[in-house]
Amino acid sequence: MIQLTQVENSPFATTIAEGWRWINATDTVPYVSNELVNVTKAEAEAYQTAANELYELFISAAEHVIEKNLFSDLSIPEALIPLIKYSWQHDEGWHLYGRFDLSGGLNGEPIKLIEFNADTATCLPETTIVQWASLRANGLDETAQFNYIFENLKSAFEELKETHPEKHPSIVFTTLIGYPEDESNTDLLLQAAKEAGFETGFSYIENLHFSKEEGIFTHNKDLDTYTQYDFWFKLIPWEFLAWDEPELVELLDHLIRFDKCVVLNPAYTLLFQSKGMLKVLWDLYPNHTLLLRCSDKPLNTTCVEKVMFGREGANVRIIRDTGTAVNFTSGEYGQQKKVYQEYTPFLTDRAGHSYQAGVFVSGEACGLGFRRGGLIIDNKAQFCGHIIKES
Amino acid sequence: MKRKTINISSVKNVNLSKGLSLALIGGLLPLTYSCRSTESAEEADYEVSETYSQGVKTFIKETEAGKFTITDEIAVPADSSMAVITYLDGRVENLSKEQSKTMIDKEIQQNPNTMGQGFGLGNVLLYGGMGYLLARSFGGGYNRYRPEYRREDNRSATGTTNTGSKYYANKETFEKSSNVQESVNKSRTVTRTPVKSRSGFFGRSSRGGGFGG
Repeated sequence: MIQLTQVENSPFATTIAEGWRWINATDTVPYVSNELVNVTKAEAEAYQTAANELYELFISAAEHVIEKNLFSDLSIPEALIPLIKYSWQHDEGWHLYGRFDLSGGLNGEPIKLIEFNADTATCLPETTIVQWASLRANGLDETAQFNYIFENLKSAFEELKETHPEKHPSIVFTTLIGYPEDESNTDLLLQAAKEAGFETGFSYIENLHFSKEEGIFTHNKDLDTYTQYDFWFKLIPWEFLAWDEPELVELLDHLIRFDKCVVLNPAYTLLFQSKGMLKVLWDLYPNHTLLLRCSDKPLNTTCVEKVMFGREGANVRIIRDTGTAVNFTSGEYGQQKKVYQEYTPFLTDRAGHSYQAGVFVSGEACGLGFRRGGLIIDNKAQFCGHIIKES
Repeated sequence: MKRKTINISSVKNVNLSKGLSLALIGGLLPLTYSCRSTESAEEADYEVSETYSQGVKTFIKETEAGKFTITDEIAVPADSSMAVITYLDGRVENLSKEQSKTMIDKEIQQNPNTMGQGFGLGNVLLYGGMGYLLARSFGGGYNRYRPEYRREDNRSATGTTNTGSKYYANKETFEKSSNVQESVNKSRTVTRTPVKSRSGFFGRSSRGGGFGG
């Protein structure tokens, strides 16, 4: 049973969080819980150590996939394989950040990897700013939180700039039209890049111009001018590029290979993102304390069926050992290849809500937040901040 | 991030940088979420950009048979970029950016391991303003040769190494060229359509839900 600290004042009552009230395009107040999860310092450190260790495991596993040519086991689109290999070899576009979703971690419950959102992780403003603002709005110790994501993002951008002295330090952030939640996430990244000394811009993907010979440009329709950006961050998954816009993948392959731009997150993060990686990890590190058993066939115990590239809990099914599905979510990814991961209960509170920890990594593990919902944590789950407290 | 050694330090008692706090308090973060989705795509774009476009004119002189040095570099409109070569016999030749590229490419093909050592025309073009333009607009191999050179010279300015700005006639010319290159660097905005560019990707996308995970 996890312990919660009830807070009275909304984080959005502070100037700091005010601008983030519309993270989800609607008033976010109900989405952000007015309860903070109590975490001890030792528990926070354990989350940090676990995420760092998991990152190392993912690196070894990705190396294994590339070496043994296991891309089809991960359902990696054919067109992206050369680019994934290239980005792995020339790691010039640093993996900026990602988020591990974990079960356990409190009250002696073991930490287990649920999945790694490596390519296009969201929840950045909530975890970075809103939960911190909760402490501030309620007169609590503002340092009592495992949360230095923004600083690490800024360092990552600084390093990116230093690694590419020949490039112009200009970065354009991109989402699709009509996904304000994604935009709020790129806005946070944009702010970190700006503080790291980048010139920054935002453009919906529709309006970006991709020139095979010259690079990536934004278009100012009023002045009819085009501005080049040497760095591009897209909050659009690589696999969607491959499925929907193969011509763009071809262009990007050329632009990256000829060093005309740096694309973030790098293509190899798609390996981390694929749920097929959960099986590869288990095959390489069976019984590792941070991992759950995973197979390409249903397990003889209660397990969770996941599609290769499901997001936010879509198309997840819990299957009892009797073979019957007890809980499932619908979604658009149903036709994909599946893996079966051993079921592990989430942390729960007195009211019976389930909690999943999200640990961000940028250079190293650097921040923690929680999602609270039902048996399957999906896009309707609330966000819950935390407070470091010795209980 | 994958090549980084991960430091497992204890949880830092730090939240956000002072910088962010100030930016937030100062209201610098865009309050755009509530309205951006209702605007048309182009109105909602925002960016920092410059409004000029520059190239480089580089003056190169043959000092002894087959050896060249850069005597001056000036900023010119992008489409007037060129290298002006004065040979020992007094003959003057204008090389366009494309012609310079051909010479540099030839040099790299013939002497891939000794680039940055000799003083032949190919080398001098690569390490001067022409090479800079090429690295900016073509990327590829060019900027693999050039950053070391720039950094070395930056160090020499502080006295830690003494390689010098050897492709330039003197220190002043080199420093001037650095400024010129910097102004080129800033001229990222052009009024013409980028060569054979494509846009409108995901224009008819009907995906439901955000792409984040």
